[in-house]
Order: sequence, then structure tokens, then C-alpha cells
Amino acid sequence: MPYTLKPTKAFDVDNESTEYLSTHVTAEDRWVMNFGPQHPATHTTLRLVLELDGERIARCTPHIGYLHSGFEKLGEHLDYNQYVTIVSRMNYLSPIANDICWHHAVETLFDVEITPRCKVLRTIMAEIARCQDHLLCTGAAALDLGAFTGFLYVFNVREKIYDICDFISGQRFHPDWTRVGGAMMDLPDEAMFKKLVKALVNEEIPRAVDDLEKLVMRNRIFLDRTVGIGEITEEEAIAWSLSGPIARASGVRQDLRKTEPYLCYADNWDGQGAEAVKFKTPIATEGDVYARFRVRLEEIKQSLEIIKQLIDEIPGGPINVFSDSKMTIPPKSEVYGSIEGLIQHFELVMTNRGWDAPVGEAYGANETANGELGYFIVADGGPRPWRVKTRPPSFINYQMMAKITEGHMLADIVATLGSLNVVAAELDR
Amino acid sequence: MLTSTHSSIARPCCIPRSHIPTPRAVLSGLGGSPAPLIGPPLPQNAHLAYDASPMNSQLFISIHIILIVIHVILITVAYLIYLERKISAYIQDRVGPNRVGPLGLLQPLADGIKFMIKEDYQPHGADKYLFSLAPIAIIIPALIGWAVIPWGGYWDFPGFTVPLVGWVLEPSRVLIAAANVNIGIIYLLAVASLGVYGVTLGGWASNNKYSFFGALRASAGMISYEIPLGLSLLAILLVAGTVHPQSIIESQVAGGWYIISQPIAALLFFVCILAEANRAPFDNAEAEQELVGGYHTEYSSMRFALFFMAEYSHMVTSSAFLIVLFFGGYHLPFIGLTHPAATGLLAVGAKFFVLYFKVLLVISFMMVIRWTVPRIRWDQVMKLAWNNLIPAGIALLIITSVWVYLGWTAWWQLLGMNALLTVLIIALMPLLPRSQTNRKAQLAGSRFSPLPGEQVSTAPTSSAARDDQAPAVPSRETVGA
Repeated sequence: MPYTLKPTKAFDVDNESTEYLSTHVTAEDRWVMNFGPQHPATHTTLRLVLELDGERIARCTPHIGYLHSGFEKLGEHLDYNQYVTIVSRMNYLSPIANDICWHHAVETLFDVEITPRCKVLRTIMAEIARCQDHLLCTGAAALDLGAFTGFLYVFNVREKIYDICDFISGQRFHPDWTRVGGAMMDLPDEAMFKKLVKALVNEEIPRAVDDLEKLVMRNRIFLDRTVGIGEITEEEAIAWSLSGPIARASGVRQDLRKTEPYLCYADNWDGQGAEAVKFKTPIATEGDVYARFRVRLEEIKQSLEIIKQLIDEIPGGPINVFSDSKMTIPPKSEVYGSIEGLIQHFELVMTNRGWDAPVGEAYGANETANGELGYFIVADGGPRPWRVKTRPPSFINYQMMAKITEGHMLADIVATLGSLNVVAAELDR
Repeated sequence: MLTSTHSSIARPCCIPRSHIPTPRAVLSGLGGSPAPLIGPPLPQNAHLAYDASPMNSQLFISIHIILIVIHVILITVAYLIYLERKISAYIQDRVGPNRVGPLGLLQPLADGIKFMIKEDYQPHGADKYLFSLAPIAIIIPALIGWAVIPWGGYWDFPGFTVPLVGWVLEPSRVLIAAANVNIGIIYLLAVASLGVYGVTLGGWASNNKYSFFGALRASAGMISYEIPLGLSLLAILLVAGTVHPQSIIESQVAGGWYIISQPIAALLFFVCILAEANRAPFDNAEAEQELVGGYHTEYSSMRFALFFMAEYSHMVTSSAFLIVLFFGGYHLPFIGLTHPAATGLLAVGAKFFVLYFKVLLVISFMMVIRWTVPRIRWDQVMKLAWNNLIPAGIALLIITSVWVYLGWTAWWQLLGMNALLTVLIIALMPLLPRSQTNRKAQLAGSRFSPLPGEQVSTAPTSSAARDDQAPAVPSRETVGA
């Protein structure tokens, strides 16, 4: 069940801003400053037009569209397997989470139940991706406030995560590992995979998180910069349909892993009565930058618990569902060794063949690191979706930007932007 | 102890100070003027003595000190950048520069070559003259601050006849400093104030809003932090009874380093020099995450290099003054060679290196701070100065003057005073008004934080913010007509 993080009453935070004179400047005297599109603190390419009154932000107008790549349109031209290479580019902080979510949606459309082994591996990778994203975001929270060291402490660990992605798929950054009904291939070496993941979960991530916590969690400057900045109330979070750690930092008890369980978060995931993985969803009530930071750090720890529960329980069996069906690409040995395998391969790969998708619509959503990532697929029975609509968490969360920064100072823009963890590729799609 | 070899001196080798009654003596009437540790007994009007020669020993030595020190320090500045990169690398679990030369030691050279061959870019609309003047205006105050630092104490100059011109330099006791002025500390304050011009001019001339913001922040910050800097200095000067850097070192040798007897002043001074040098956590003027590069956003090539060098030489200057004022300058306890009374050539060299390495230690500490803590927000920086440091400085100044008036100037008495003041500050802190949250200010024209009772409009108020909007689509009627 969700639980509430302890409020930080112990810290006597004194960060009253300087007194603001509201009368000496009229709206027409304002300075307009373009924060971006190219700016060190926007992380990617986004633009905020700030109307400044001194250092105060009188009005913040976010502009998007500087990173438009036609991702959604590409979904109409690529088949259900190929499109995974595009979705993983939408959120490049945790690409594999997008892969898993995309094929979760596709499998919802096809009404396929994947194998327990695949479920466990996908759950492990989804949680590693959550750590990957949160590590960057919490590190960047320190970086945006000028503490470069904390950022590098946690960024180091991401290298180890890349190694795992590399190990399972052959690609470090964008694994593109999932396929309809399974994965591109089984683990090359299960013992090695377990060793890598255990080293990550038991040593590397806890050490990095510990370092970061010691560096900034009780740092007076960090507290003064983050407590009370960018506050979102619970009502606002619901009204603006925020999700993920940002909503939970405002006290919204919402986590798709709990409310609409999938993969190993659901009971009876292996068809033999296995229990869902046990974890807690951290909730904070303050809704400020510091609360979001704490929620993210706590989610990393909960993710590690989930991985620890699953890593020794990886079931055997095939990773792909119906290996003899027309759903998955057969292994290369069969393609080259048997006529059926060759035919099946061509049936899926040839542009005029491909899947027999059902005619219909499906929405599949996962709880990714930034919130609810969903894909709405409209299928017309052809090998490619007729239309794919993405529900990117960053895009929805970014709406709040103007509301929570107006009235704060210029430097708070950076802290707020970092805490929303906006990925520009998700904004523009 | 004193082995003055020149009891009768015709020319002044240094500015007389022993006859000036110290404030302590004036205030208390106790103890009288402290006997100078070393230095020749000078006639009352020695500084008025007319000297026909264009050169005297002190001037001759000073010129050489300038030549030596400026090279040593400029090379140091280049290698400080290397040091900073290495320190940050060790803090951050990285390797740091190691490609150019052994251990990357030639990296500063490569950086310098790169700076020189880069395009010297000047943005459109920049003020041509001020844009070029700013790097000069920032590097000069950073360099001339070194002039009054007594690098090696006194030296018994053996005398020398300059070849070709035939100037006869008589044996005398000279100060190893670029300028032996007895108002050295006041000179420091004056030079520190000049540093702000380069920053302000650079930000103003760049025709860039980020630069201008950086300049605004820097000028406000530097001016604010000069006040607690001056107050902490005054607390030292009251106890020392002199503004001559060399005499301050001597008084520390006699009465214990001021870091022990005046720790609050040392803390204030250290915080202020961090802010004056625009170092983290006070580097708001060039906060990368907020203002890109701050006042030097638009600078490139050697002009940028000058800004960069100025920051580091500012660090050297202010660290040297911290050492001179609080850490005994070139003095090391229990080592006779670094005692002010040791005036041989070997002693001078030893003192120079002691001071030099103390400065490096302070700078390394500054770098460790920079790579550890986040940046303080701009309004919090100002609030720290005006609400915390300046009241603390004033309280320190008042209580120090009382102590000096009462004649309680032994190190343990002053340390007790500091402890008392600390207790007072801690006791008074909860009584000060404070707020628990970062407030959102209400502003005219804001959609989400408007003034009370204001009519909120959703359109951007400024035309510049509207320029992304599509032009009005002509209606069917206008097209048809």
C-alpha cells in the first residue's frame, strides 16, 4: 500500500525570499528573456519565454516543438516490431521502459498473454529503467542547483545499467529489446545476467544513492533552494492529470502498478497462483521540488526491492509466447534450417504480409519513471497500426510549468524544470 | 634576536611605523606602543628625507619582486585551472586531464594555445570599446592586489652597485614585497572594489541579457560583500593596531595567529572572499545553469581567458590576504627560519614557499567547496550578507573594540570574546523574524500568481512573447474581396 514519507519537520528551513515591491514596475516594463531553446539547464531543446520583473518571473510561457521528429507519424509506417526502435527514442532517459510499454500496448491489442519468464525479465528491466531515469533526474536536481559532483556520483551507475542493456540486447543505450509476444532473444547467459543485476542492485545503486543523499539531502543550501519551490497541491495534480512521482509527491495515491497491475505487479502472473511482487509506493504531501526529489530517491529503493524479489526467481521456459505461431519471429536456426521457419520469417518481415492484427483499438499503459506512459493503438487489421497516439508523462506534467514557476525567481525555473524531469523528445513526438 | 647591522641609515628603506602610537595604546593607555619585532630604528622624519638617487634598495628589490612574483603567479594561475580540474576529478571519481604531457601537466599550455587561436568574436550590437575594456578592467585589479603582500618578510640586502648606470645601493633591510606601503590593507579594500568594474562593463557591453543579469548580480554581490569584508578586517586591525601587512604578521608571531584569537572574523573574511571572487557557492554571476556563462557569456578567445585568469588570480590574492591576516603569513610555528627575525636569503626563500603553499592550501579548500555544495540562490546570497554577515560583523567590531579598550588582547581573552559572541548569536537567532517557506510573490500581469483583485488575462503581455503566434488568418470575406 502507499505510505507517506516522513515530513522534514526536523529541518528548520529559513528561506524567505526578499521582499518584493509590486508597484514599481508595470507589465509593459518587463524584461523578456528567452530561456532556451539552447540553454545548459533545459537539458534538451525547449524554450521558456520568461517575462521578468527583476529576478521574479511574472509570466512563464513554455514553447515546445524544437525537437519535433514525427515519432507518432512514423508509427503508421513501421510495423509492430519496428516501431519499438522509435518509442525508445521518446524517453531516452529510460528507453527500455518505453519498449516494454509499447509492446504491452501491442499485446493488449493482440490479446496475448506473455510467458512468465518474459514477464519476470520485463519487470526486472522496467524497474532497472525506473532506477536509470530516477538516478539521472535526482542527480540533475543537484546539478541544476550547481552541485556537479552529486550528478556524477549517480550518473556513474547508469554506465552499469547500460552494460546490462548491452548484455541482453547488444545495444547500450537503446536496447529495443522487446518484441511482440516476448523479446528479441533470450538471455545469452542467465548466470551472468544475475551476477550483473545483483551487483547493480546490492552494491552500486545503493552506494550511489547513499552518496547523493549524504551530499544533498540535509544540505542547508539544497533545502533552501528546493523546499517550497514549485508547489503543486493534490487537487491541482488531479485536475491537471499529473501522474507518476510528481503526482505522488503532491499526495495523490496513484500508481498503475497498484491500481491496474500488469506484468509481475499483478497477482497470479505465472498462471500458477504466484503473488504479486511486494513493494510500497512512496507518497509525499508537500508537492514541492524537495518532495519530488525524496519520492524519486525512495522509488529507487523500492525498485531495488522488487528486483531483489525477482532476480532469483526467474522461471524457465520459453521467453516468446507461441514460438510456433505466426506471432513471433522464429530463431535464426529455424529460419535457415527449416522451410516452416523460413516461411514464418518472411510472413512477418515482408512488407506486404506481416501481422494479422485485429481490427480495433487498444490502450496499454505502464507506470514508467515519469508517470503513466500509454500508447493508444488504432489497428485496421494490417501489418502496421493505423494510428498510434502516445500519452507521454512529461508532456502532461510539463503543463504545470507556468503555473508553478510564476512568482518565483529565475533560479527556481531550473530547479522546477529539473524536478518535473521534462524530456523534450516526449513533448514533441 | 635582533641583529640589526645598520643602526645608522641615511635613506629610508621602509616606511617608518614604530613611532606611530597604535590605537591600542591610545585607547587603553596600557602597555604603550608594542616594540617592533624587527626593523631598523628610524628617525622621526626619515620618510621625508630627500633622496637624489633614482633608485634605492627597496625600489630595486621591489622591481625584481614584481618580475618574479608576476611570473610565478601567472604560471600558478594557469596551473590552478589544472589543479581545479584534477581536484574535481578526484572528488567526482574521475581521472581528469591526463592526455597532454605526463599526468596532463602540459594541459594549461594547450589551453593557452587554444585560447590564442580561437576566433575573437564580438557579438552584434556590443559596445565596441567597453567590450574590449572589460577584460582589462577585470584583470588589472586582480593582479595589482598582489603588490602589498609581504611574500618573504624582511631581507638584509647586502648592497649592490648597478652596472652601467652606477647606482650604488647601500646595504639595508628591505621588504620582499612589490610595494612596501603601510596602508596595505586599505589598499586591498580599494583594489577589491575595483574588480566589480570589469564584471559590470563586460555584462553591459555584451548586449546579451544573460550577461547583463550576471553583471547586475555581480555588482550587487560584490558591493554587498565588501561591507562584512571590511568589518572583519576592522576587527583584526583593532587588535593588531596597524594596517601594514608585514606588521600584522609580526603581531601574529608575537601574540598568536588571528585564526585562533579571531575565528569569527576569519570565517566572515573567508565567506566574503568566496563571494568577491565569484566562487561557488556564490557564483551566481556566472551560474551556468541559470545564466549560461553570466557576464562572460559572449566572450571568447583571449578576452575570455583574461576573465578566467582574473577569477583565479582573484583567488590567489584573496587567499594570500587570508593567510597574511589570519594564518600568520609566511610564519610557521617552531620553525625559526620562518620567523620574521630571520632575515637571511635562505629565510626569505623559505618564507616565500611557506606563504605560497599556504595559499595553495586555501585555494584547494575553495575548490573542494566548489565541487561539494550547491549554489545559493541570488536573493539568499544577498540576504546572507545583509541579514547575517553584516550584523555579525558589526557585533564583532563593537565587542572587539570594547575588549581592546579594556586591554584584553591576549589570544585567550579574544578567543573567549569570540565564544561569547557565538553564544550570543546562537541565542539571538530564534528571535529573528524568519519564514518557513519560499514564498511566491504576487505580480501584476501574472496568470497564476496575480496581484490581489487583479483581472487575469491569459494573453502574453509583452509583444516579444507573442512573436511565436501565427499571424492572423485572413477571413473568408477579406480573401474574397
